[in-house]
Amino acid sequence: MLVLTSLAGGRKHGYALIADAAELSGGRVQLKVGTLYAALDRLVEQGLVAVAGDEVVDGRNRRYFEVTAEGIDELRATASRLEANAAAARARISEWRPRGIAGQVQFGGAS
Amino acid sequence: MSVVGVDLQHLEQRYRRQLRWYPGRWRQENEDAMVGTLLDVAEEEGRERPRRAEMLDLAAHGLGARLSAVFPATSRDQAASFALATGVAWSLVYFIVQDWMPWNPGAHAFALDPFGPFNSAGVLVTALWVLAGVLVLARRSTAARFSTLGAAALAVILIVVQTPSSPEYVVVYPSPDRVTFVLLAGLGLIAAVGKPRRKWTTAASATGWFAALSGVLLIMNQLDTVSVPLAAGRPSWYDFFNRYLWSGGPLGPGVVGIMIVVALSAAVAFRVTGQRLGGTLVLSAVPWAASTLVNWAMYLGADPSSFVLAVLMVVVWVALSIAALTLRPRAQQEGQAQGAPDPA
Repeated sequence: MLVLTSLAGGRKHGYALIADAAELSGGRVQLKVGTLYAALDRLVEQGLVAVAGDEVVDGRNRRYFEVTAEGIDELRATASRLEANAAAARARISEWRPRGIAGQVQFGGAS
Repeated sequence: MSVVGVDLQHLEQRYRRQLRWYPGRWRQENEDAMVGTLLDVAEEEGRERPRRAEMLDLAAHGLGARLSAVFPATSRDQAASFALATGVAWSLVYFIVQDWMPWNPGAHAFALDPFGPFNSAGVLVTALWVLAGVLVLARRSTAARFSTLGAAALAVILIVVQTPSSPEYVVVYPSPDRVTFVLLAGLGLIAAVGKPRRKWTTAASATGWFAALSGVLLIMNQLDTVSVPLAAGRPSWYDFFNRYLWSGGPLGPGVVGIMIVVALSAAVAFRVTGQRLGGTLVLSAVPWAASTLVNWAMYLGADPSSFVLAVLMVVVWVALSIAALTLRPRAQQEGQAQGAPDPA
């Protein structure tokens, strides 16, 4: 999800993806390089992400990745699902009343 | 030395050594890009040494990449789906004809290790398989995985604990069928290596297996002109699976052996032509190979040289098939030779 979200903002190389994932998650997610490349392998195999070229910068290889149309569809579906879950959670939260307070009100009303 | 004064040359060598956990072909295609990212991260953090967690992460994902190179996720999922369908159907039929035997209420009295109203604790293996099927329908794939692994472990425990009741395999009392339980144990493991698909094909496979297996047992029972008269019209034997399938039925040792060799040959052919079905076939053949080896051990045990030869045949075929799966499919080779983009 984070990788697709990051790539939806434009093509990126490995380190840029790690930095963006950290920023998107407010610092909670620090992707390890092995984990990132395993996720990218899987996403490429599923056709959600594609390799967008290699560049050599200061003698260091950088491979760029980009999201595909299928990847955007998948991201849209996941975002909709999360929005629906969040809406349901917010609705339940607004209906929720602490049990203790309800008891006190009843007790107060009776006296 | 890098622009920020960090010695990255030594670090790069350490990373490249660690990447040997990955398969050679993967390294050939991705090593430089991955090392570049590793060095970017290290430079940003001002490190000259790799982190321990980072090295463990590379080793774990390298091993995972090696497994995926032979059995891609698609193959594992397909094999897991087929194993789930087979396990549910086989364990259900087994439960009806051997653990329950509703047409022979007297069987329970002869059971050496009865389990409640049933002839053996094999009913628990069936329960775990059915639970796994329900969990897959409910999209609880992780829980389903635990259920099939539990079914596999229990099948092995029952083989070890309960089958010594009939050490010569002359089944005169209700007891778990060894070959069937080895098959169910193997199916449980294969069902857990992937994510069984909640598709009509999985349900159709389970229904097909149930119908085929029930049909074969019924037909074999009708054709049995020797045992039925002895039982005075009331089946008294307790080894339907062994009697009508494994020892002399359509799944006799020789027949399954030939089927395995054909399946593995097809797997190699599929792989060579670039089809991913090769990995699926090899994984799917593993439980059958295991049960066949047990079957051979029981029937060829008196002739060790024949048994060793038979075991060697299966082991060599499985090894050759796995070796073939590590070859790059021809279609992919041609694509890369023509300058097609690297899929990884």
